[in-house]
Amino acid sequence: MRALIIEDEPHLRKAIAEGLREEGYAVDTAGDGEEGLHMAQCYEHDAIVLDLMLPRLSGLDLLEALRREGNMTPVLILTAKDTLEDKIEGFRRGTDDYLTKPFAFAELVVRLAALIRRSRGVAGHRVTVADLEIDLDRRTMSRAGGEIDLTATEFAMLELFALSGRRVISRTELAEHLWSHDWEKMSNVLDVHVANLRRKIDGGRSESLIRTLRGQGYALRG
Amino acid sequence: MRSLRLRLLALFMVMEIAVIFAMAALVYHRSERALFDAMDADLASSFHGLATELEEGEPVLEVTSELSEGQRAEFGQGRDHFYQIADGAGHVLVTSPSLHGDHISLPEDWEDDLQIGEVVHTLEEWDDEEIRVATLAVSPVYPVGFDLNDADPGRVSIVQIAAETDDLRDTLRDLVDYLTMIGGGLILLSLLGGYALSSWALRPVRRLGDQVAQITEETLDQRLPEGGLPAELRPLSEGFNRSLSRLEAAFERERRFLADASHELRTPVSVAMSIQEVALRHPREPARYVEAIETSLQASLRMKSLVERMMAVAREDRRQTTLNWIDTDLGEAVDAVVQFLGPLAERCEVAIRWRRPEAPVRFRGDRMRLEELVENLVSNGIIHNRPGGEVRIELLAGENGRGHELRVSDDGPGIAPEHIPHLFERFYRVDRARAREHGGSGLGLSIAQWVAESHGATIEVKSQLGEGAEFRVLFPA
Repeated sequence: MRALIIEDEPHLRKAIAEGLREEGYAVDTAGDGEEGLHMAQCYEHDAIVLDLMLPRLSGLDLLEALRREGNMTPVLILTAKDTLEDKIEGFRRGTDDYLTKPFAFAELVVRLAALIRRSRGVAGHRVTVADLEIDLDRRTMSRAGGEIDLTATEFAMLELFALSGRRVISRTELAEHLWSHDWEKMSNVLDVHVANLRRKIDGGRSESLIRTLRGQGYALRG
Repeated sequence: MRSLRLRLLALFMVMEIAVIFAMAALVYHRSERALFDAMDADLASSFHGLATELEEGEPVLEVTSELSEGQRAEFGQGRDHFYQIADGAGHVLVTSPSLHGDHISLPEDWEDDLQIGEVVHTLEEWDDEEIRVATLAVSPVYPVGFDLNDADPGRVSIVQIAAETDDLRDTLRDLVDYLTMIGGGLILLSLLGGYALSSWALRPVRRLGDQVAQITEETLDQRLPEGGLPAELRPLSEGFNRSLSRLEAAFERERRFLADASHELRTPVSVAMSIQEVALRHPREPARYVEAIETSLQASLRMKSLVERMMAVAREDRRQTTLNWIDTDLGEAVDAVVQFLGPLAERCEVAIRWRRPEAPVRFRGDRMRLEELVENLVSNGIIHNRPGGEVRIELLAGENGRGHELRVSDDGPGIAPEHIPHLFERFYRVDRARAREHGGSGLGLSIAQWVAESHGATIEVKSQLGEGAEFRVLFPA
């Protein structure tokens, strides 16, 4: 999953980014409102963490601009403004969630996960495809009852498949959700990760759950 | 007595009782006088015939020890009056049978004071009864058989008529009973009336009290009514309202300060929490822990400096800070600040332009506070500047009755007009992110303002977007 953090306090921005990366997110960051808006417009994100008091362009104006363009990306406002009026105004301008500072990082993580699940029409944190069971919360996967160890990158790929239903995911989309824009999108690396994931999931079975659709991309189908 | 109402009532009752007593006493004495006057007139009328007879006749009258039937009728008129006649020497010649041989005492000094035809009334005692005696001086009277040749025509005799006063006294006693009843009733009535009246009169006070009681720290915006109150209570209500306004303003300042302060603290707390939480989520290399601890230490330091500044502002708010007044040189103060802020200016690539006046610029004030004032203005100029920009400090010594003037100008982006009125408010920041990078707390200008005010100085701001800003401190002459 790919998240955008728009926060002007550099240390906080860095800490959140690091924490989310460790949760398997690809993370983009922006230090002011204008940069944030630009990044949100140019790249597709699964969620945006938005501070309100930003230099150059306020968080609320940024949010309003995004929504006016029809951008549906789930937004979580993370701010020191904690009055009821602030919250109501935040939701009026189009946020999906509101968390006040100081906050517990663990809460930010579960709120983001819930936002992403909901935006993709997934009910709970367990997704089943054939005999494959994926626990998005505990970040584990098992097939036919046997748990399979995955690397963070592999799970992030699997998570994207799980949250996309039977939809075909292009290589570009896959790469974009795995690595933030400042990383090289190396197709070889992507192929290696896909191959590894497929090997682990299939475990020597003749038919793979991860289908390759030539010229389109991949899909997770039972 | 604590109760104003009871006190008023008691005072009122004391006066009321005094008035009633005075009235009763007056009525009593008037009635007593009237009654005695009537009695005296009655007694005097008994003299009428005798007096006429005695005055018309020869200066000598013979009397026997018993009065004739006609004489007696003249005297007593059939009533049980006492009478007696005494000669010029004071010998009682005739007494009425009702005296049973006894006689009534004569008025003192009668032989010198009384002229013929004159009547005096006195109260005497006879047989343990009070009697009213009318004494009439008449021409000399002699007993039967008296040799008239021995008569001394210069001397008067006296005729006395008396009656018991018991009926009169009974009437007076009835009057006293009657007055007591009426007075008591009046006192009771006015006690009740006064109580009710004082309740009624004090009702606005009680109503005010109820209204005051309803005002809590949550409802400080309420005010007492000032119209429709008795004139005596209006100053109370107005004074209370003024106090309320001040209290409300103070509360609002406090509330805003707390809200602003907690708001400002959120960011460093969030930074520290996030860094620590993220660091603890997974095992890491020692170097990463060091990094996390260093960053959260920075956040802690920021919290510390915020708290310290907040304490300073809070103290200033309560005017707890006492100023240490000394004669000082403002040039020296600016010198110290310029030296102190050198490193910050260097980091921000801003040059400080400052030439200290050759002559000392003398001013009486708190040196440390004044340095704080200059420091806040200059650091503000450094932070809100552009790389390669300048902060210019000018100190103009006062002359011709004008005070000293300190000018601090910068090459920053300038301040939009809508921000200028709020510049000195605590935690107000035009560009929040930029100020924080350099440790700005949003309290600096508010502290500068306070220091200036406490020295009788004012701060003026001149700025336009894109043209930098200039702060002028005008010291009192």
